[in-house]
Amino acid sequence: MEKSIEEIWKNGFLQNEALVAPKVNDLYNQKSKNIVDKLLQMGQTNIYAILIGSFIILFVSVITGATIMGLALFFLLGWLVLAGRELKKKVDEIDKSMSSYAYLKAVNSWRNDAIALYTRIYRVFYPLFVLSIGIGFWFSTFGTDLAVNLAEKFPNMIYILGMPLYPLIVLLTIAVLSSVFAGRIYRLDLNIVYGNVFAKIEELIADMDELRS
Amino acid sequence: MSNDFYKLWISPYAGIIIKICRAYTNSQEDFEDYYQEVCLQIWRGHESFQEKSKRSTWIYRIALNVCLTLLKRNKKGAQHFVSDSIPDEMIEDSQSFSDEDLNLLYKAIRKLAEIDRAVILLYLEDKSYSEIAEVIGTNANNIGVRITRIKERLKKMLDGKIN
Repeated sequence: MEKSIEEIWKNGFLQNEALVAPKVNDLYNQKSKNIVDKLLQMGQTNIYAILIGSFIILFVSVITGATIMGLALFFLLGWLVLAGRELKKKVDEIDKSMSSYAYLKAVNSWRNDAIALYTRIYRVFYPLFVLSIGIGFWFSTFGTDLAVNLAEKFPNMIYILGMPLYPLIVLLTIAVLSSVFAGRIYRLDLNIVYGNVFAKIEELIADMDELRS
Repeated sequence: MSNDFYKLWISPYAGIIIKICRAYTNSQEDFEDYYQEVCLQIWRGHESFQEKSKRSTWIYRIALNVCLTLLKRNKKGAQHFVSDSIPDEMIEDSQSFSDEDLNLLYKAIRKLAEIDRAVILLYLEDKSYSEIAEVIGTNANNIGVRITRIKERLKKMLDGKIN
């Protein structure tokens, strides 16, 4: 062979057809699958984290004498876990054999439903969470000590259902505000955790729409 | 956005990706799969690329990693032929280029050890020893000797028309 390998290489690739890239027609399928898998994995991790967190909170609150708070938070977080499980069941029901475009659209629609459901849940969850912490603390061992001190310092303080009026008003105000702004707080939280994945899903759908048009 | 991605991350490097994928595959079907997987991995990683190395170096590394991983997976699955053991007549892709010499050269490259294939591809793409070393994760000092050895082996195969 007279030509050097360097010459063969350079001359061989002088013709344009030698470097024709294959069509990446399956790339969108793989991208879709990849993104949806990532989203579901993150959701699953989130559910496990909440579940583990709820048990830790229950355990810590029981040993620190704040059992009411611990139980309330445990059940509230359990509610989130159950809602998450139901949503997971729904996404699992989506037919994976459909086209990646249809699958991604279905997952996106499920995501919008999930956001709507969680927004409704958080309208109740956030105020209950605030009240559980406030009331739970008040009726805990620390809270009882505080109540004794307050009663000594402010003997004329008004109590409603065993709680001092002004702190109760503050607590209720925070609870109401957290309910009013539940949607915004939830979206903020959502964007921090899932923002990147959501953006990719929307981007992919937009790309696919463009390709189909 | 995807157009931007292709323009910035795939199109300028499509040539080298094709060349690398060709060296690790025996059929058009495998080649397309490997090419697609490389594009996917670039897409997955491009947002976390930190400019610590040249973009081209990063892309070569991804392309090689993908090819080596898929090759290993195929070996494990034992459902695909491995280029080292495949008879020449069964390599579907042996006529993938119109240039006969290039086809022969590729056939010879496919007979090399996996890392040697990467080294020679990068050398033929005029990459410096240090860049080759960076891509394959080795010391630049022995790259020159290695290239000489690989070239001798290729020459021998080409002179004997492979085998």
